[in-house]
Amino acid sequence: MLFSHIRVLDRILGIFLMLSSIFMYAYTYTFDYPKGSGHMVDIAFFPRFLAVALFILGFLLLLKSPAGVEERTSITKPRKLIAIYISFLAYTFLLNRLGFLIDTFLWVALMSWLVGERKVWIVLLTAFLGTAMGYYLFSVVLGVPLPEGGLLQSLGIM
Amino acid sequence: MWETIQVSLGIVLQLKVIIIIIVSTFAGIVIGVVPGLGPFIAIVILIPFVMNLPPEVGLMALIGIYVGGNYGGGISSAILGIPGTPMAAATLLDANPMAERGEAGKAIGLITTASVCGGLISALILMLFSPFLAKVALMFGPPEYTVLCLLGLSTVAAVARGSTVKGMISAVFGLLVATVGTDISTSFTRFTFGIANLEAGIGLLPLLLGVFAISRALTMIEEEVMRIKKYPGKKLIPQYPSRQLMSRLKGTYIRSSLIGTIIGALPGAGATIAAYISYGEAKRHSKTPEEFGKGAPEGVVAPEAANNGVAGGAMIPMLTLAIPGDPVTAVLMGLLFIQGLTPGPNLYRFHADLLYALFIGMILCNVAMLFLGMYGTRLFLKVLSATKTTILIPMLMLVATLGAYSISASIFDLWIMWVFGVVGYVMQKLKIPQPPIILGVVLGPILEQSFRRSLAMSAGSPLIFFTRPYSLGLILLLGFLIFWTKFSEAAKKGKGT
Repeated sequence: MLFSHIRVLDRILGIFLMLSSIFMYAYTYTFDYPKGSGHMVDIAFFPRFLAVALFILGFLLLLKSPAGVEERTSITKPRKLIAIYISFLAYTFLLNRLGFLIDTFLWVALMSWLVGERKVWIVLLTAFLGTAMGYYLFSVVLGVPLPEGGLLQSLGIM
Repeated sequence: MWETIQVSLGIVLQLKVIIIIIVSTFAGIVIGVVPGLGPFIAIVILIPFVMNLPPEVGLMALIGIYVGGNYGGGISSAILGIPGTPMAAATLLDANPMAERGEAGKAIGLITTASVCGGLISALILMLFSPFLAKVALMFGPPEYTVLCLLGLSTVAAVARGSTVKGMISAVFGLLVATVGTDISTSFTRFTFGIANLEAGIGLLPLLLGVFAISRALTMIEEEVMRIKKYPGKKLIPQYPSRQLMSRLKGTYIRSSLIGTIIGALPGAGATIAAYISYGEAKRHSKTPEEFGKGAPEGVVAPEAANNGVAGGAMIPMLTLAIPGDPVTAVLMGLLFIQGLTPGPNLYRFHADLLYALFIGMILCNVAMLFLGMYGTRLFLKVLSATKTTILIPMLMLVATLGAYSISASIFDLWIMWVFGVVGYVMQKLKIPQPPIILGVVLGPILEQSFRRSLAMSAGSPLIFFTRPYSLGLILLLGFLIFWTKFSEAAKKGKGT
């Protein structure tokens, strides 16, 4: 379990927001548009205004007086969360390579396992039903072109 | 008007639309019952399904889920002691104690009738008064829209629980995200960092799914919110409130419904605020305030009538002025845009039949909710009890992923969703309210374009916002609301000590 006082994290966030807003404000000078075009408020005005607002808010967060009770926040299962999040990224990375059917089946099964299901038949059934329903609803009913992937094609299956 | 209503009835009274109303209301109730989900996430996830449907069918489906979901959270509060939705936390205060002492059926009956009352009253107000508001809206120009957007954004920030600063950070972040991409007026790009995919901007749906669905799934896994308890085994027969009780509570029903409708009409307020304010008002008016928190019927009716009254109220500014009343209507507004319908006065002028169909549909959703709630509650709880986390979470993730992908058949949208999933998770951990982001993303383009047009109209003078009567009136309203919110908070703290 990882935990910290929210007040500490608020201050870190405040500094982060202040630095980010400075970066964003500076970045607006790289916008490629004709300067002095006669517009009273050009395309950089609003982002700059928001960057200043964010800077002020970050500063206020930094200065926020401590609460009477030290409130904490925690991440109770960091490894599980990281594993699941990596599975999200892996699914997306492999989607065009493996294709929707294989990639989704593996991903749903993996997620079910990572979340805590230990009965293999439920894992496989969940994966099968999820993939089948997803394919039917999106590809057949809604006509969304789902990735077919290169693996099955290279094997001569599709 | 009567001809329009007749045409609208013809739109609504089709078998497929009636079925959609019943099914979507039922789905909304089931989703609302499940803690951690809520109608908002359901609507966001289902938008890809409905956006290719005819407008009247798609909107009915989302309204049914919205109305049903607002109600479903109260069921979970009463029976399981877990608010199904944030707005149902106020319902839990009295509904759960009532159920625990063996009056679960009475609690469900009160929740159901209160929700229906709130929904019907707000739908009628929407139907009767929104055309008048639409005519007033024609007098609104860019300066008024600018101030309206500020009203929406500041109202959310002002009522953000725990920290006004954090609420405003969330809203400003949403506004900044909205600047990414190609500027509408000039076609020049901003904050694309050389990434071609960002020239179209950050998609609203992937952002919403990331901030809410993905982050919610991560916290559900972490906190095991959805460890479903076994069905309590108590006999659960929903009971209609007796005539005597209804007579005693009629003031609470009507007042709370109106509070919900009015607060819903204020951009950015939301159902949770309406529920708590209504609860407080009910306690203030009650002759037995000491009973609140122990199972007082007023304590059950007030928040439920209010949070369902928000549904119709939130539609008023969204439909008439293109200003969403709450995050759900912000998403509904997005759907209207996707289907080529622009909210505002012209919607009444050119699509009045569709609008009245929507109002009639809302009334029918509430009628369906009455029967589904009173006769189908046991089924909802069995679904809840039977759903394992290990099945629900992967399915939720899959639907969210497919939803984000389906907009443009773009893998890039999935990356956006995952990034904002982390953002949403961090926001939850740091107690930064998430709904203001949506208002920021939706209102940002409106605010910026209105502001730039206002200054163009006035040759650069900001006095235009103070010299136009409606604009000045809205500025004064803005100041009053901020003052009233802070005053109410201070008064509440004073009473608490």
